[in-house]
Amino acid sequence: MEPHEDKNKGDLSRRKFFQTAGITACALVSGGASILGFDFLRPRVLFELPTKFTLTRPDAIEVGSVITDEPHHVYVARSSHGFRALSSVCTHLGCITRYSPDEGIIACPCHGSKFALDGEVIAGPAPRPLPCLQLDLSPSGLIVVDTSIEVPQETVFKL
Amino acid sequence: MRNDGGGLDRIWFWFAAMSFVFLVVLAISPIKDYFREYRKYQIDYRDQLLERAGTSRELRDANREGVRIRQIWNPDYPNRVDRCTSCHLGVENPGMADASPPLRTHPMTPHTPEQFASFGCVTCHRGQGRATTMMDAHGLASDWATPMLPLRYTEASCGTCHMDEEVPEANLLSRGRTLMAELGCYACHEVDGHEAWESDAPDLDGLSRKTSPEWLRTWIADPQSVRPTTKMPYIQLGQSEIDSLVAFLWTRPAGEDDFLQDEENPAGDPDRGETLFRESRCISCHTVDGRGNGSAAELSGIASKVNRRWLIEYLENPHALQPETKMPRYYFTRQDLLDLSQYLMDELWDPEAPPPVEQAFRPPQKMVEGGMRTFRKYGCSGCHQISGLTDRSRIGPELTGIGRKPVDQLDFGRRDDLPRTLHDWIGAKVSSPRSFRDGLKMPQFILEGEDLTAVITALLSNTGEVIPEEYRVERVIANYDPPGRFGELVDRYRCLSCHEVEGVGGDISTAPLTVEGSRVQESWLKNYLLRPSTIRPILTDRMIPLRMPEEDAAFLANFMQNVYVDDDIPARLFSEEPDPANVRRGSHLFYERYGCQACHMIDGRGGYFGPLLDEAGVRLKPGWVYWWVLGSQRWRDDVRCPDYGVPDRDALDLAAFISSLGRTP
Amino acid sequence: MRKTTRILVYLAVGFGFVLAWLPAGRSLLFGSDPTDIDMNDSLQTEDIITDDAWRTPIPDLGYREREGRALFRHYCALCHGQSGEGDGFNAYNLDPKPRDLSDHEFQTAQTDEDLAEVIGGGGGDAGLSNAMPPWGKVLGERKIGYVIAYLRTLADSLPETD
Repeated sequence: MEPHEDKNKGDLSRRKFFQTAGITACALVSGGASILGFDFLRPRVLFELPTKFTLTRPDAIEVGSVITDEPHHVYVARSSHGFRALSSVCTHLGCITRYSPDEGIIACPCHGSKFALDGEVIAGPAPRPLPCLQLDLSPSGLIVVDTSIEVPQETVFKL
Repeated sequence: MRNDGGGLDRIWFWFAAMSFVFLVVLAISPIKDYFREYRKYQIDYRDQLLERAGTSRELRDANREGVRIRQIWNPDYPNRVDRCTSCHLGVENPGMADASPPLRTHPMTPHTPEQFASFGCVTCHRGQGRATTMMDAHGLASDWATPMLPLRYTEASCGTCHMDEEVPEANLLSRGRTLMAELGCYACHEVDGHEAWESDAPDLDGLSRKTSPEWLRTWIADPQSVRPTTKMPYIQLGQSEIDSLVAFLWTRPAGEDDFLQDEENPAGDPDRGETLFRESRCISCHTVDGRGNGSAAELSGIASKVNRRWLIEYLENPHALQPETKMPRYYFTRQDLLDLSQYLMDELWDPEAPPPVEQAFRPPQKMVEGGMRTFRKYGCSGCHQISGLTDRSRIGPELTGIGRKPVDQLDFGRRDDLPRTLHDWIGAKVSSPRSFRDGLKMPQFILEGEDLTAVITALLSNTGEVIPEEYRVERVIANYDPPGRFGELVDRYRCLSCHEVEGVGGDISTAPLTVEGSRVQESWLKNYLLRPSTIRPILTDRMIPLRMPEEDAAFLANFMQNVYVDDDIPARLFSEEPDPANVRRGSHLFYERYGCQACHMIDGRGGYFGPLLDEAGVRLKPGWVYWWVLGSQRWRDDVRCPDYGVPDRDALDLAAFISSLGRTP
Repeated sequence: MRKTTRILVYLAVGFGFVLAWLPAGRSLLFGSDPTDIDMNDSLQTEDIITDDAWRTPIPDLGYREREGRALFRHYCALCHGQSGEGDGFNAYNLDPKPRDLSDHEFQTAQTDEDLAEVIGGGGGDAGLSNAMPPWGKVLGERKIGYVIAYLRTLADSLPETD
């Protein structure tokens, strides 16, 4: 029965081959499909303001002055030491604060919190200082703010 | 056993085959994703960045560039996302100026690179910002309503927000808009914001007293062949239409036949007339054989156009015959009028003009009525006023929104040769309007080269889009009406034909009068009005001697001295005569430090582009000189006197020096 | 076995179709594709857009050169002349005479930065005549860039080499 056995063996190995190939392909399909599925769930682009954006040229901000970027809720202040970017969202209940150039402080209109230009709380119910944000310079020489990266309060960016 | 085994075999085989097919089908999506058009550019961009990186920081930034969709999203424009930067990667990177598109740096413009994030790309270039392939994004392959503007028309996009006629740093657009107003597009076409457009074409009443039917016929047939500089277009009328139109015009009001006889006006002295013609500086506005300012009519050939009696009447008081004319009323004596008209009639005739037929022209009534219909049909009343026809309705279609019209809404008619694009259609419409089909009425304008591109740009800029309020730069329509007796004199002398006051008036003169009282001294101004002297020898269009009575000059000078002042300009700079040391220092600064003599002449020394300063001490107020030196662009932003960034002390000394010129201590 | 071969042939054909459907695969199978873009062929977009056979002549100058021309004619041509040859009507009284800007050697010798420095800061600061005023405050960096872009179009063509 050797030939029979042989043939059977051949049949078996072919079946084995198809089995292995089929199952492997199946596994690849399901694995790939789930990866693609998750990839599909993650948006490629978002319809929101980018967290990293360019503002003006550094020399457009005079020493001692503050510019406000309303859409991104960011202040960029320039002191004699350098530049500093602050979020303008109050750490108390999320109101949008305002910079008052006369007093040189940032004030929240909702509950009267006041912040210094380095973000520290001067008065009012705010629990934390205003977050300090990452600053950079774009290749074309414009200020780049990245709101997704917070930096320590004392950080000052120099040109 | 074998059979069973064979059946199982087959099932396993099909299982494997189908799994493989599934795998292939599943692979399509990631493979397609892998071969995205922008991927190629993004990888190339990163390679180029790595190649160019000079510092470790640049190297780090370059390595961070991954393959992803990049976009500019501006919430002010609700439905706009510009993904152009997915391929045009280097637009914001000045280091890519020498790269080839699409990686090349965007050139510096008034809004870039500072405002990329708020303007995006589509705002200026049009196209489909959401698309991520070139054919779709540029709006070429799809039925996208607003495909990309060719680069030469991009300035049209400046005009979607800037409604003004003159848009800064958009020469082509400004030129196009000015041309549209000059050529009278708004006479026939309604366009939002230009309802108040006024034609400066002459009134057509009383032509039978002015000219001859023969001249009129030649003129209407083809105005540009008679006078190439005319703004009147070639209307392409048939012979019968021309005849009837002449008949109609001739009877408004009913003709006088004695235009050839002129017994009441004896011959004048043409030589004295010529002197008068030159003294009166007629070419400050008119041209003779193309020489002169060109804002008023060319005068060569005038003798063949008008008869002498009309000319005398017109020179005596232009406003009686053409109430809207820009020409001032000179105080000519009767002898002046005879001599001047004699000179014009003797010298300025057109050898090609048809000789007047010495026979009265009495057109039949039917022809006159036909002429009226022709007049209406071609919308002549859009530009010309004529008694008995008060309706000035516009005969052309409205043009608001033409700059964004989808191509499938355009009528290409016979023009199969045109590419199916909006700018080509507009270009052909403007340059050969009658070529589209029979029965069209738009006349033929002479528009070539850059002027044609300019007009196409101006039309493309009229998109009728609703732009967010904060982006709009509205058209400022200045309104100034000089009051009382001053107003009457300004009207009589037509000061505003050349001078600008508070944004109103012409631009022939380089001197706006808005702050004239702070600028010049009253006694000088009065003398200048009586006998204008040469201030800027380089100009052909200089102040005209109006021969006004002394009391008018005194009144005008006094009024301007008191009303046309600016409080920012110091009225009295020095309480006493400045120290000679300061004058000397000012002189040194004038010649050695700032090199003012490059343009200004004093005692015959120096350039002659700027005003002569010989009499500056008599003419200008010291406060004005001081204010001027500290920033002359505050007066007119196109003043050519450069801003040297003069320190205050230098400005005072320069004012002391210049105010000392021409004065006898 | 024959059957398997047939099936494999079917699969291969099927895979071929899929490949043909993919843009990248198509170029692999049939060579270059009409919608495929050559990275270095910068003119392609313009070709499609400006392929108009009719009469609009394309202006010779681009945006920056055109802006520069207007500025040059307004501010510079008085001394340097309409074509930049230093023959403006105000040039006769100047000593030294204004530079001939169309001179080929001058144009190649000066970088854009050199030109910007003299235009912006004036001749006096650059050790040249003080009759050349500083335009930096009036024009600003961008407009000076326009002017330089236009100046480059004024250069004489290369001198013939023998």
